[in-house]
Amino acid sequence: MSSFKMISKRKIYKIERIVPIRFTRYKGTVPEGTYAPDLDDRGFAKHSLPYGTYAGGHYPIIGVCMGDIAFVNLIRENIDEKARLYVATRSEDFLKILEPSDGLLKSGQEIPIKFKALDKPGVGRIDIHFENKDGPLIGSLEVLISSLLTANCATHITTVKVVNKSKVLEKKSERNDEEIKKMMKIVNEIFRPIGVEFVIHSFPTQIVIQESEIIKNFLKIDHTLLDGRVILFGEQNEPYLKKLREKNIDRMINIFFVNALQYAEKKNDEYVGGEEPSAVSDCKRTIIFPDYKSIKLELQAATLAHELGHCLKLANVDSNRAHSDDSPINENDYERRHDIWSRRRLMYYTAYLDPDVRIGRNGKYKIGTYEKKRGDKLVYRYDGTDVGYGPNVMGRMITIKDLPNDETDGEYARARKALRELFRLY
Amino acid sequence: MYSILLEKLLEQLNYDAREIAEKMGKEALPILLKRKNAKSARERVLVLECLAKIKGEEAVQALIEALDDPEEDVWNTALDLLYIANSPAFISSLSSFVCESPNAVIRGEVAKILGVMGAFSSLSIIKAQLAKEKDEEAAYKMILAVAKMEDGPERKKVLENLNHEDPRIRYETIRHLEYINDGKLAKNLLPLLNDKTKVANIGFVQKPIWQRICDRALEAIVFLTGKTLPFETGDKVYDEDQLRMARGLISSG
Repeated sequence: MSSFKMISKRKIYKIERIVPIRFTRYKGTVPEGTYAPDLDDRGFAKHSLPYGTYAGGHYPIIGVCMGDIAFVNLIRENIDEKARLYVATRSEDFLKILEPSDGLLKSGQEIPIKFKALDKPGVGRIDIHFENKDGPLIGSLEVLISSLLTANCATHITTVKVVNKSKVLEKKSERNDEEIKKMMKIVNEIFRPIGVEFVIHSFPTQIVIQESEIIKNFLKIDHTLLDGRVILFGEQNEPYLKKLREKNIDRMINIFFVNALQYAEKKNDEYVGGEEPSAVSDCKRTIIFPDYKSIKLELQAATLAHELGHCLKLANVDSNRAHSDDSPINENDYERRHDIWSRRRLMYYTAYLDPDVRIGRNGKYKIGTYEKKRGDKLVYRYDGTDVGYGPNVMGRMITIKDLPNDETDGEYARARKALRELFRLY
Repeated sequence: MYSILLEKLLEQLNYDAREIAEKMGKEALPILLKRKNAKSARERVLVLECLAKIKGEEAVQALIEALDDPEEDVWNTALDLLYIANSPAFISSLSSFVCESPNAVIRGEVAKILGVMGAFSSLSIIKAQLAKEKDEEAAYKMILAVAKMEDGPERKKVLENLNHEDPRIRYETIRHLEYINDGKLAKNLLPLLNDKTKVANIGFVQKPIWQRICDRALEAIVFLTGKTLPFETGDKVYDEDQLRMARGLISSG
């Protein structure tokens, strides 16, 4: 007879789904060459998967690449912390449990599991059994194993020169290759669950723009803007963008690191300095990324990953719903969601890197009418750290599940298809 | 001198190798062909990129062989490059991929590549595969390939999508007409010059500029007729006068 009973920590009602265990991202130190992906643990609805041995189930999913060694945490959610739990897999063709090597999970609320994905794409499953290795199955985690697709990125450390009759003003990005490499390492960790890696090729780039080229389309402009920062007008025929695109490297995503980036806003008959975006993407293959030295690199990398996500069609850029990821400062965005999983998503709107300007109701920006109507209180941080992983821990999830009735979903399949077709002639 | 440089760049996985290979032309072939089966998939991809710059039958042969590579990056790069580097000498071997490849992406894309090549001798193979193709996306690519090579029911099917209720499909079909690239088709775009549905953001994500179906239709009319308009075209939004001028391009025959 068993010495343990399956003890629930809470009273369970008929309408409540019993969840003895859950899975979450591994929180410990991740050794070099191993991974701790954000998993897609949204809800229990039946979903579909791009391919695999299972026709899609109700389980949470973690994405890894062939050959990866990865960690995930098991949480004893509604079960005694001393309950004897075993981890096992019946998908021996796809994965191997490395730790705990005997399958017996330690006592405690949150316990790591280390596993290796084998060299075969597909879907495996990690199962948690109660009491012994063949005991009742009380939870599972699907493991989506992908081949690695790469995208070449030209990273331009850019100097912008503005020339007028009497002088030349210039600004150069202060980034260096080492810093860009560090950023890209973080970016690639974010994209690893969907089997995408960005490979960087560094180029020193200089654009020279005549003042006449800037002002010929726009009658007047505040001349203090013409100092070598990149100015965007949010209109057609962007003169700076045109110059940058001339430097695009063929069959690569082009990331232009520039010293400063600012929108020019029309006030009466003159363009004056406006918003300073943390980065912009033209939804195709050009990203402009300014120096924000005071912001921690992890957050900058998440912003770059977000922009690269646009290149892979991760937000609905092809419809009038525009940024289907949620804009907390756009009153007209009724699709906005604030649940913890939405906030964890890579494509969640991150317009400003400074979290303090985006605290919602009591912050600098007023909240939208929709939220007012619902009486919502937006009091979480917008910098990607208030996502359920604990204080100051960021999350950047790319969805793998394709849940029904949500066209922002299924990012795994969408991104891989977009990457495959990124440079196709037709 | 270039040979040593090319070898070094390939070892470093430096994409400047493409430029050097192009400068060297056929002289680069022995170096590239020696490395086409390199252990690293990234090097195999770069070798293909270089071969596509050289073109010629040996390069195309290597690109076709790469369609059997186990790495997705490699066969996908080969597909991209076969659109720009191909040769009539390989119509037969390419056609076999349409009916024999277990990979639906390869079956569909190779059919489209054969269309671009004007490979009329492959038509019967593509049609036979189309009749039994189970992958919807691959099947549509085969329809496009056939529609490019002959004015038959497949072309009619593509044109029907210009009236599709989903604006994104109408918009995408305009691009398919550019693939078919027959000037006679330009007149089919005339009604779409009145279609003001906004579909694609051609600006920045935060400051979107929505290109409408009529704007995309104007650009396709310019492409298909080979005529020019007195203003810059491409990835833009056009005013009523400009749309009127595009109508004029068709009515002027």
